[in-house]
Amino acid sequence: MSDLKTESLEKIVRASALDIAQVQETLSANIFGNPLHYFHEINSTNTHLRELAESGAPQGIVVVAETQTQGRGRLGRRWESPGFANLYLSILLRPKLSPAHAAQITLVAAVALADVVDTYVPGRAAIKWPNDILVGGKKLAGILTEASCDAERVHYVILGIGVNLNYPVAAMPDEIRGRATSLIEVTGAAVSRESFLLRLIQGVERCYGELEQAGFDALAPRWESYFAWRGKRVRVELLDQVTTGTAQGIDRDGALIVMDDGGVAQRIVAGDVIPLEN
Amino acid sequence: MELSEDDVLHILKLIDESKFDYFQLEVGELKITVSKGDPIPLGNAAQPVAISAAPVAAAPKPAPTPAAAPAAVKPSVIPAGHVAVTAPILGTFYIAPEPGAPPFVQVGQQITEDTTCGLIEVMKVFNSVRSGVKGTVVEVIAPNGGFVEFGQPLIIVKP
Repeated sequence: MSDLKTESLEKIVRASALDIAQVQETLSANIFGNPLHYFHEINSTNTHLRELAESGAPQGIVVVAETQTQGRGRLGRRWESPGFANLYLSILLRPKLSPAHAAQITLVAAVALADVVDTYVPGRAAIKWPNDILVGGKKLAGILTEASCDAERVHYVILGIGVNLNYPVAAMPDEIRGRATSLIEVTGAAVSRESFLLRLIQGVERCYGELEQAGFDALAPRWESYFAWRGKRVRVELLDQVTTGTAQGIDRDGALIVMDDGGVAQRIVAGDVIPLEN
Repeated sequence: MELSEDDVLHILKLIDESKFDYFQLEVGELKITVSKGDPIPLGNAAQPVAISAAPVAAAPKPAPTPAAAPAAVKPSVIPAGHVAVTAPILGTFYIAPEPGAPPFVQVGQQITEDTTCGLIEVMKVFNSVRSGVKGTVVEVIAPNGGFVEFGQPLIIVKP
């Protein structure tokens, strides 16, 4: 590549990249995001942060990347990670919660994420149990939570968050275009990624602090306020067992309560939950 | 006195047909522990996990998860001198990080205390399960993609 082309490319990258120095400076008094590791390209922010966690990295460390070559969702499903348009980050937590309650963290992160999205599209952010963020019934953000624990304690939890911001639906691959959305799509305007990132990290730190201080009971009503499926028909699939019923909400542990067609409340902690109506 | 494989199968059949939920037998160095549904109190397993059974407003008697039925129990025979790595939480057990990927551990593999021997998913949180024991994997008990209860044996290790 000629020097001229290289120089042009670097200018474009600089113009498109996150102003990470500004973000780091604003977070300098916080626990979360301090330090914040930033990459133009990485395999997966979760994978990198897990290596840091295994080496003893402290709570609050954040990894942000402009693009991921192996971005992933649940069970290795690919997470589309186009560069310089969205946010991909992972946050390391070392909670005092028991292993049985560690899953509450992912619901709390969903509240923090929904709070930020809701400031851009008031009244339109919704949570699909347990932690996907929807706008207009389509997925705008996802959380992949990975933890390491034994029977006695949680060693660490990694919150991996992907948010579609300035990623037009028309540019999305066919397989996700019908069920995904982005903030630029629903607001019609490009979003400051630095502003969103700052608010998200600060929001997760605040909500996580509330969970550690006051327990999940204090946050459950806020989760419920975003719940997309209340009163809606859903199907729950686990192995070869299928249950259909009406979603009621969550219990004090974050389990989904579904009133099945026989009138019995089922407590759902695993399996796929599929809405049967919009 | 020694028990043959047929003896063990016969005992399991009797337990299955009985009204007992939990059974433990020790004959010499052989130890058999069977549970029909509740966590199996093996070795140093901690107290049962409190995923709350608190009633929900709409239903005074919360029913078990849909998962409870398939959680049914593969009877566990832990040979003397062996150790079971048990589930630290309830959830869906995966022996590999993603479908089609190589398993975390296989029979015959040498592992250390820090070896990850599976994932348990609960409420979309993927928990790596550390073996906590150094030795050789003798058997992978828990079915891939199956629901496991807290304390349920996942793999058997000969230290």
